[in-house]
Amino acid sequence: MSELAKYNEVAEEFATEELVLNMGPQHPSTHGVLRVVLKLDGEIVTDLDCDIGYLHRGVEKICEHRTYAMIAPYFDRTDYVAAVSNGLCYVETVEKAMGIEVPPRAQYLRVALTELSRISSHLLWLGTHAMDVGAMTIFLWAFREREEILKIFENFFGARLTCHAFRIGGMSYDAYEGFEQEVKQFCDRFPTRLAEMEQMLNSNRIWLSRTVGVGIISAEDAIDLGLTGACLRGSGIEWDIRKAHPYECYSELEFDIPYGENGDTYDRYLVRMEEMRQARRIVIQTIDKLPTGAVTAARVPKVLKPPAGDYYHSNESPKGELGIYLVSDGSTQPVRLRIRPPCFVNLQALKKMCVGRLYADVVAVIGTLDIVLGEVDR
Amino acid sequence: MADEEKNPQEKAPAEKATETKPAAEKPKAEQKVVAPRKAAVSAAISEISGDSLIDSVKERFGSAVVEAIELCQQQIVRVTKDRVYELLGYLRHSSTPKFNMLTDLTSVHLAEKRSFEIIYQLYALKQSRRLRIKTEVSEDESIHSVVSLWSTADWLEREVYDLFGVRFIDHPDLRRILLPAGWVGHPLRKEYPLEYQDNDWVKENLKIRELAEDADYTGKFE
Repeated sequence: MSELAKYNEVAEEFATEELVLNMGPQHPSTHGVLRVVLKLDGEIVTDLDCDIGYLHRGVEKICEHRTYAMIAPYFDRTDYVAAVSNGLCYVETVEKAMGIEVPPRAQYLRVALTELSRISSHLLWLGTHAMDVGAMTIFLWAFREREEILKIFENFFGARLTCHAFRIGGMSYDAYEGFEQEVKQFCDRFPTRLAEMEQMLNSNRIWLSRTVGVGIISAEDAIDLGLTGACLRGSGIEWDIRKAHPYECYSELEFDIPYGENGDTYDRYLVRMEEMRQARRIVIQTIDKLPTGAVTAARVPKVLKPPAGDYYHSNESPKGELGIYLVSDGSTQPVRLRIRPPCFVNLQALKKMCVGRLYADVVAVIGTLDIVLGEVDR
Repeated sequence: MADEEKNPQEKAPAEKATETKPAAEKPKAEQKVVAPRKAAVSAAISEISGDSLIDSVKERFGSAVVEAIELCQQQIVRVTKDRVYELLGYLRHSSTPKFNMLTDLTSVHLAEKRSFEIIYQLYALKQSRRLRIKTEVSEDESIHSVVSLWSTADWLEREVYDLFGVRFIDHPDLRRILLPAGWVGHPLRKEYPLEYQDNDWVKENLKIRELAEDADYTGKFE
């Protein structure tokens, strides 16, 4: 038997075949209960399928059976990492439908709290994303900073995670005594802490090799897939709802929209880091400009009945465009309340970003998409 | 001021409590309640006119455009089901501005008409312009998928199929997304109860042992 025939015989015996690998739903780097079924050829991902719905609680169905005031707390539990901005989007939708003007002080307080929540959400993303690709230090540092924001939240809302103080027509109460000083103290310390974290990552060779050129998505694909938030801006599109369709008092505040160039994981990381700086800038402006006066609109009916019609309102949540589509028939309960979750739409891009790439990149890409399964599944 | 906005039912005891007040004040307060609400409802909706995009859509699709209205500064175009795919294709590729982004696709169950309203939230990224397209599909009909126009529609249509049971023609992979594969029924339909458990499904899939009627609920199992 010739050498070649021998080789062929052995090769046939050890023939390789496609491996189907189940990742999750209890995998630590899927950030919750996401199950991904991967098809692997060696270490290369040839196909993948996301299995979601493990956290489906039927929030939209529940909302159809609640009055408008009762619905609000459910929104803190969809994206539980950024409860403040979710709650804001809901109250804004009802205010838009009913034509309620929110007093300026409430607007500024809302923006200050929402931007703090953006920083806290991004810090959680940074910590977990960095830990997924092997940087443990950042996880501890990011959570230390996040803790300071959560302390402010606890003082303000009485809760650390499911923060809830926005009411339809304003705020349910004014800021506590010393709120401004605490926020200012945080803002003073934050840039040096952020710089420390960046120092740990920006020139870290392991970090660079795990993120640069990983999970690339072009601008055209990003638009076609409906990506929003940092995932869209990372691909070089300067689009932010706070600028494109300003809500609350954003039109009176100065801030820039960071955007990337290559649409890879590293660019999205840079975008989010800069977003934290810009959020801090907004918080300082709101605290400096904070007007005095009432925090609740003077004429808010006790029984909320938005006029019959349908309303879509969206705002820039830390994850992307959070939209709420409200159909009212003029009664006390909505006919339909649809939540347009940014995470659900962004997660759809996972397949596009991962197929043809290494298996290890899947973890990095799930991290860079910044998903919260509570919002994906609702 | 708070009293004015209360429900008629709630109002009765409030009036009793303030019997000492002069009777002449009451009708004034009632008038105040009615006036702003009616104004808000009627002022909100108006026909769109003089808009080049809407005009071009009306010209091209003629009677297929049922109505084009503006509500709360939102433009809404309602079209018939048979030409909605063609219209969306036009808005995606050749209208000015081109709506390159599908922000959302969802549905509303109209129980009394036995039909579904399908809603497309379109967005033109460069011009920062939104447009809402609506169409109606009866419960036994299916509608053309728009995955070929926007890839976003893939999961969004799967979700509508899962929660409403609307079938999309030419969808690449139409199966349930949030609920498990063997689930019976579509939860966001109006006839679907709010609190409900599919006992057969739970028994088969979750392998939860059924408790006998005289079971001990103190938490002490064998």
